[in-house]
Amino acid sequence: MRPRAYRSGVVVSGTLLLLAMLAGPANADDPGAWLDRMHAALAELSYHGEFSYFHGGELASLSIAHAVVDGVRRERLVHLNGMPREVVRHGDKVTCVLHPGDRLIDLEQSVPAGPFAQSYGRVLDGLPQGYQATLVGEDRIAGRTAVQLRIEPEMPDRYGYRLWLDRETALLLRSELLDTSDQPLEIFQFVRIEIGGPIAARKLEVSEGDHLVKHELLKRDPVRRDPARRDRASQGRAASAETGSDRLQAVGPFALDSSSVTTDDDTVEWEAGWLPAGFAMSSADIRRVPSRSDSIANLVYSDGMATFSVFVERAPADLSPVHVARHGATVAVMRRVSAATPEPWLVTVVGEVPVETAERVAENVRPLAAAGD
Amino acid sequence: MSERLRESLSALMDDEADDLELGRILRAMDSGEADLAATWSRYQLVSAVLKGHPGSVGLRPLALDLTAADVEPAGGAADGVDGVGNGSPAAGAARERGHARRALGSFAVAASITAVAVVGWQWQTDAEAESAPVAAGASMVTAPATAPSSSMLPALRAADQRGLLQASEQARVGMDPPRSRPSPAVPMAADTVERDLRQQVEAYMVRHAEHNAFHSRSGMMPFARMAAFDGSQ
Repeated sequence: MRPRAYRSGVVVSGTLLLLAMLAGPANADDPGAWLDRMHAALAELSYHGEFSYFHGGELASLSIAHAVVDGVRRERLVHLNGMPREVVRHGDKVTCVLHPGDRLIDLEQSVPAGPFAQSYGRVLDGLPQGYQATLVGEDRIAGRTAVQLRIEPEMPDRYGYRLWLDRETALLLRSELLDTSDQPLEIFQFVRIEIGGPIAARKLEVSEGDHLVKHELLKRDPVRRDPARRDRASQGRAASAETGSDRLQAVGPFALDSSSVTTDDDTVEWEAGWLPAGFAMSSADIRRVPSRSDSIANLVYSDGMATFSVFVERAPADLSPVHVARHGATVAVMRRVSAATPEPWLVTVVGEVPVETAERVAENVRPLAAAGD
Repeated sequence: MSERLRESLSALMDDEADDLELGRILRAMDSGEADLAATWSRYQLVSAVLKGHPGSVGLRPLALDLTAADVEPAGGAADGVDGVGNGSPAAGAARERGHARRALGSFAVAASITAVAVVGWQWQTDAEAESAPVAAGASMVTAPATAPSSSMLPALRAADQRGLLQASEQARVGMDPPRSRPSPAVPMAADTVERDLRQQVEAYMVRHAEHNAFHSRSGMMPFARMAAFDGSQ
């Protein structure tokens, strides 16, 4: 039942699939092997169905179709309740389709779109550092037999997971993100799914209509990185560099690629002065704000399971020192920093991590120049 | 570490830190004060032992210890807040619904320690919060208006019990009530800066979800986060 239709271009998936095949039945009791198979299944299987998504006290229903067509990953997600929305992925291009009046449009516009920076080598085999995994047993989800995995963080600085994988294909059928007291912050669960078989082309196409607002996200080339700075910054996360880091491609703080940045102001480069063990930068980007004269720096960090984003911009006047917000499993900490720069900056950390972690990260974001001094 | 800083930490432990003391601690955190975290841990440990909960805290970083301080059973914590927050109608309810704090309290304290305005989304996990009065949003606005910051912390906790988080020092931020409740959706008493800020936070949340959706190998959950982002307001 394992998919065969991957192309050589899909190196990552291919590697994972290979691992999954090697790991296959011989390691049926190995949670790490199940995770590998899960990632491969999500990327390479054809499936369509509907799932429920519970977050922040709300329940959403969405439909999804996924297929690999001519070696290109295609995916379409449709929000079934409330304001019609859909997200369509075609290889490296993601299109959001929104209806006029959707509040998401305003939100989209308040931070400039621009292409996304390339995500750097955060390809992890098996279980990421900082977690323990166990196979709990079997269950039944959406009419299919599932294997339940429990993934617990070793430190309370990140969340845990319960995953239910299809026993036959290892596709993720249900997932719970658990807070530090084991309460689910969000639950995703298929209510109906068909795995394998052809997917009708129309199920993967963007909806057409004059009144629809389309918003495209594109990947772009990685920004330039300075190895010396990377080394210096990696000292800042020495704690995370002990075990397992050889499985990560450590990535340094970003430096602006002059070809992709059009800011006139004195740009300050930033980095996280503190990271939870196992987290490393997975992406860096900077965006010009058309309505203002400055730009927003965006750093993304991941440990292979959880991700948080750091945004840095000039602080508006009269801002209180710290703001905290939460939406479902996502927490946001906004913090005004004035250390080491002549003018105040606003650091925002957004991610699916405990608020204490986000706060500590936010407190320690610093200009790159100050790193080694 | 100065004696004064120690005193401030101690005051914070007892929920008696005032503006100056909070500021002192914050500055010490910012400047990477050497023994701050260790001292805080020791104080926590002492406190835990005194309250009969040894082992509930360890030598964790400062921010995490703040959590430990707060996730103690409601009884012990209530002792600490007695006498403050009397002006808040929610204070009594806070004690009654102490167990709700487990999910919410760490957020509140971590926020309050940084002396703070909390921009609000509702946050509730248990059904009990559903029974909170519809006027909860309004009570947020009336709570800490001119109160000294020493009462901010219990006010925050009280707010938590209603599944709402809000406290502020200079800034007042209106909050959207949960969608399931028939409450006014217009933020109250929000000034422009804070409203812009709030929109900015939401926009960053969307960007974060988009990024995850784009780069994650973990399937559709990040997509779902983005697509399901509250669009009904």
